Amino acid sequence: MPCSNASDGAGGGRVARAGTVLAAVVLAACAGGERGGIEQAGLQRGDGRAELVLAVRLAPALREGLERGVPLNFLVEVTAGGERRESHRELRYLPLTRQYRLREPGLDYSRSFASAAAALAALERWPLPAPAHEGTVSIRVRLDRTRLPAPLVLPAVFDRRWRLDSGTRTWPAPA
Amino acid sequence: MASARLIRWLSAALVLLTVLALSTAGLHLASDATVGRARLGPYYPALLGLAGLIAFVLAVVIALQVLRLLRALRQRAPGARLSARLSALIAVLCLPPALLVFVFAMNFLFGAVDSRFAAPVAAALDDALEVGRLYLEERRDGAERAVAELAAQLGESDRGQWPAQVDQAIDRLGALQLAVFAGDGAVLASASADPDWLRPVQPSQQQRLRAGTLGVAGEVVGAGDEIVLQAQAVVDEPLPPAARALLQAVFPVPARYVPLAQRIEAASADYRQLEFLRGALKLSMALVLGLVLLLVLLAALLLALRASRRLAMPVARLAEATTRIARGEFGATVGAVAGDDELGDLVDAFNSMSHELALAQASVRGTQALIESQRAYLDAVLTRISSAVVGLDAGGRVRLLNPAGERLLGAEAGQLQGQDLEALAALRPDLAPFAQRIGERLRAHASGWREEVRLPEAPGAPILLLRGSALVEPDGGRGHLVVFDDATVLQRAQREAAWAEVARRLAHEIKNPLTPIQLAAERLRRRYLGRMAPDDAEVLERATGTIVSQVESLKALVNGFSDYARPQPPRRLRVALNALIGDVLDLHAQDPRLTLERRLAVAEILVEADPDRLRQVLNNLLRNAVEAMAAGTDGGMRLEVASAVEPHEGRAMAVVEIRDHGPGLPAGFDLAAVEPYRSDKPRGSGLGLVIVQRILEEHGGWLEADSPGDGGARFRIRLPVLA
Repeated sequence: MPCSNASDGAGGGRVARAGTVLAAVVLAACAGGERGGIEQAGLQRGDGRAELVLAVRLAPALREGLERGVPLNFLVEVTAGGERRESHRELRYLPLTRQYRLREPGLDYSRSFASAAAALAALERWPLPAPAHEGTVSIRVRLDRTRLPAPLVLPAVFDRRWRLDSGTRTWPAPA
Repeated sequence: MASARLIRWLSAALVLLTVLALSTAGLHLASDATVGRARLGPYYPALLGLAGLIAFVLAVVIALQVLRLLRALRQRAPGARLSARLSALIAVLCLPPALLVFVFAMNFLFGAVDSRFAAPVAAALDDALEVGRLYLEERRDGAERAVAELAAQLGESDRGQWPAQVDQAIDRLGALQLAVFAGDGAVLASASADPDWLRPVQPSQQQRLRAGTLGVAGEVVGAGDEIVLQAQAVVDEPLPPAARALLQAVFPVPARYVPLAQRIEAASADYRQLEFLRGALKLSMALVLGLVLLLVLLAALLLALRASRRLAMPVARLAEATTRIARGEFGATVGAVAGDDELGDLVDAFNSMSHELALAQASVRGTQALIESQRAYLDAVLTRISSAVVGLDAGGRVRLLNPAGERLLGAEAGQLQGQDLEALAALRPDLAPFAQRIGERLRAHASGWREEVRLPEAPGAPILLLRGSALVEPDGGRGHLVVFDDATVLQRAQREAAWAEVARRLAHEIKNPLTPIQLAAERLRRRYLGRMAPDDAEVLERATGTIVSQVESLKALVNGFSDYARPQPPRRLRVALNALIGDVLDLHAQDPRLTLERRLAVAEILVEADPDRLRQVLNNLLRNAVEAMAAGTDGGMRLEVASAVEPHEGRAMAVVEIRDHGPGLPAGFDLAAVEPYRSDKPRGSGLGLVIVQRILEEHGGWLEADSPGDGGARFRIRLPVLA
């Protein structure tokens, strides 16, 4: 992320860097560059099962953060028949084995992948408990920024690159 | 007062607590957002919005205060400049240190953050991680080889023999689990050396693909807190590739290695993560501490404005009160100042001083009022006194001349004010002896003297009786006061007093025998009138009648003498003058010879007088007029009576004019020279005009007389109108 780049310059005056960091507060709010996002979100239902199909694209800053040990927690909020349920998945890089691990603590689900693409592919097929209610289903998928490492939470409020949010999508009752 | 002080204390305490709370919350937030666990993470946007809102509100309040201060400065309100200077001073004292501390704090924190990322540490962690990886790769390679050998052995035997082979191999290989899966995933054979690994673990699709492609594949897999090695090899069977069996072995990693590897991995991951988050960490610190600094500075600025206003307020009130005192508004006080400090002492001292000034001013005003009262009293005395008074300064210049003096000297005070007596002599040459004598006394520095001065050249040759006395002037000089009277008036008064004594004795001596004479005459008439012859009776009748009538005349004369000799103080009643004139004229209208012309004022004239005495005045004057006209004419008598109100020396005076058309006043007639018992009329007592003058003087009025050019005599009564 640009903020880290701004502070990496060795040998520069610390006072100057302090000013630079202050300026970065403003710049981060309107940070440019390639932005990721949850570009698609679909729901597949059938045979008493439901699966959330996503198209997730990570911005380079997030990819870099992931490879440097920043866990990414994705949160799914499912509202069906007035009932609201949450589940989240954590994507983390394991440097010892050079693997990416996708974990869903609530379901004791944990799988390792040799590449980020494989891990994201697994993330994009997100099995959900079949809603008991067959009516309207609203789903929102987002990166849970509150579970980011502490120093990153506040800048992430201003940095759009860390804003992965599908918005609330609603599917009508099946015909 | 106490509640206002309590409110001020609470307000200040609230602001201080707010600042402390903001600072504490900000520092806690900074800690939470940088080195903490971001427990407040979900609330960061709300907290930032709240902080922004507080900053905005503080900024608006400060802007309003500054605007108010600027407006007060433009209006030059008391204390505004002092308040502005104090605010600027406090701001200058607060802002640079705070900014300096902030910059140095940020510099220190950034330095501390940067110092955590030393290159040797990163390299050591990378090396340790690499060692761990190499160890695992070596173990993985060994696992792959063992699985490949066992798969080759299984490929040489039937599937029915695989369970036994697997059982035999597991202990030999030291694996946790061995399992053979058919192409469709069915378990063909399995063996387990650990109760936790009884259930065969299905290889993933990727593992199947890799093993199918490479023949054998292995990888390190994290399983909870454990690390295991999974290796897969395809059993070489005479079957299509998709239908061939897949052997999978799970090998343990030595228990001593696992925690070491996990710690190395965690340390490396944390270090890399922190390195990645270094910028974000600095940004969070700068953001939170900057926000805290902004809030604290705004609160401090607000406090500075309030404090400067509170400090300047008593000074402004003092300045305002001083201005009021300078304008002469003594007694202006300043409200008490909260706090037991020098400002409070100053305000108390000022209020005490103002109070003392007010008392002194009241005393001065009282003294001035007393002086004015005494001066007014003296003026009134000098105005009313019949004696003339002239005050002279050390140089002989006139400083004072009362109305009696003006009348006697025939000059106005304004003409002589500041002039010396020679100017008076130049103005009135006949008064030269008067000025000359006084001048002589002044030059002789006489302290008390008395002298008569005759003015031979003046009409009537009056004699002035002078009494002089030295005075000390207000400036310390030696002045002189001269009191003088017209000795002729005094002599007249003395004569009047003497005549009054004569009249009293005369009345006393004459009145006593009159009644016996009258009674004797009446008894003679009753006893002898019927016995005498008609001729003698007629003589007796006429003689006794003459005696009685003359006795009556003598009684009237004696009564007049009594009135003159022992005048009673007049009553003071509200009298409608026109109505009273009308009553008197109605009596005289009975006289057929008389033609009365009334020209009375339309509006009634009210005077304070004794109505009986006023009737006496009018009757005397009307009788005089009728008698004068009766003596001088044979035909009808015309008498004009008029009334009006005229101003005289600032007072409204009622004027009653009685004009006859008789022979007029005798040549050289002077009212001032009229004396009792002197009359031009054959039967007059000579008391009529004297009594009229006395009555009018008793009422504060006077009588005027002249002879108009077209004949007759004119008398004017002047009386003060009732206010």
